[in-house]
Amino acid sequence: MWAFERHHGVTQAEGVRVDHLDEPPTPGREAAAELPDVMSLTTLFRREYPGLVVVAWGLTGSRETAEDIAQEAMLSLHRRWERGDRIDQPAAYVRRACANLAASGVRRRMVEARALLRIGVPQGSTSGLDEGTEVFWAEVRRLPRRQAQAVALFYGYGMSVAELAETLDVSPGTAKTHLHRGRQALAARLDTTADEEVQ
Amino acid sequence: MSIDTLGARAADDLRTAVSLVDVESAVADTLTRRRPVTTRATTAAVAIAVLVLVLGWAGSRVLDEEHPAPPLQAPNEVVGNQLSVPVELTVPDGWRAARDTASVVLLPDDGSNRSITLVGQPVRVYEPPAYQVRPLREDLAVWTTTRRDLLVSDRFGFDGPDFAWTGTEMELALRPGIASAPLVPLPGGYDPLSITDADRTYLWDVIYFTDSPPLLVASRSDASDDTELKEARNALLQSLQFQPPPSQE
Repeated sequence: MWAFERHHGVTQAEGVRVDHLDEPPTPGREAAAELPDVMSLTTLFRREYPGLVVVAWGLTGSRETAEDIAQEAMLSLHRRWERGDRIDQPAAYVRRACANLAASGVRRRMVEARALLRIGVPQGSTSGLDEGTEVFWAEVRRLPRRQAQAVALFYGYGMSVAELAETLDVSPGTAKTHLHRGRQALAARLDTTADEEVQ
Repeated sequence: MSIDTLGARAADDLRTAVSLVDVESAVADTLTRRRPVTTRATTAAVAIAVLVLVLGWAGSRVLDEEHPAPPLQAPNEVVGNQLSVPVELTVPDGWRAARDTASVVLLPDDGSNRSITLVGQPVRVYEPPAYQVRPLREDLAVWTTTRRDLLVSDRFGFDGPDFAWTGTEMELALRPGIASAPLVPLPGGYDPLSITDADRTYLWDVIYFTDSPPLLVASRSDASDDTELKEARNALLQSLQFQPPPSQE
């Protein structure tokens, strides 16, 4: 063992699964359907778009950015399909891609700047949302990244823990932890209560 | 009112704002943005060519001793980030370069949130290849330098700190309100830095050797992800077959 490992004091946590959001599907899983066509992509997008925008909007605070991210998430899926990659769960893939893109602050800055120029929105324009909604999502954005993603996906899609784990490509225990900590933190900051732990 | 009620209402509020017209418009817009696979290589090549041209323009000023290029200037919100060494960027496969107002940004083609920003304007040209970037997973990349006196200004995420590496010293340029706390400095040049910003802790590993090219492993994690990211970081370092410098064997 090299010196840095001893000094770093890192210990292996048993049962901890490392997230690799861009890993290919696990070998042995059922093969995906044949390469989807434009119609399949369109159908999927129509079904997923509202939820993708909700998640991205909540995580970025910008509707224009969220719309661009939703499209980029779908394009990412399309590129994978074109390359011949097997995507077992395309809905989970685009939701995960959307959450990742939304959490990327650099991209958010760039996209938002382009969107603002494109639509000519003056600085300081309001979203028209209810104040409580604005406050809620602002607090979500203050959460650590993984907790913010878990909360946004949970409320945006009404997911179960199992669905959240599949979307984030983590173990159910990890998903549950992220969600629980996020909800607890939000409840404390918003001076409210957290219901029983989500199953 | 419970947090779940608040959350459901907040989500519904956003969902209500997305109309059917928005959906159809977005579908149509997305389909027109699809790029054939055959054009992606061209796009990447163009991006790289543009980047090289831009860097070449900046670098030509460095090579002209009578008219030296100005030192790298940090964005206004970063404190004390004066850097004076040149660098050349090699865009790795699977990434594309984009020009922001004050930086060069590397974005992965797969849509993940691994982004790398070189902050400062202009970036001066250095002898190729000054360093290489190896993206590994979200928020984790390896910068391998061939020279010690290199400029590396890296940012992971919107709220991350900016820092700069010059020679054997690291100048930590932080936004106001962010505290830095170097952890235990280790012999052999392993120096983890823990930087705290509100509720988030960013863990940066800086590994350098006296007689070898320095290796910078930069990652970002929050407290809840710490164990998993440490595992990934250790696996990364082991995969690099990291060896201590000859003087320490």
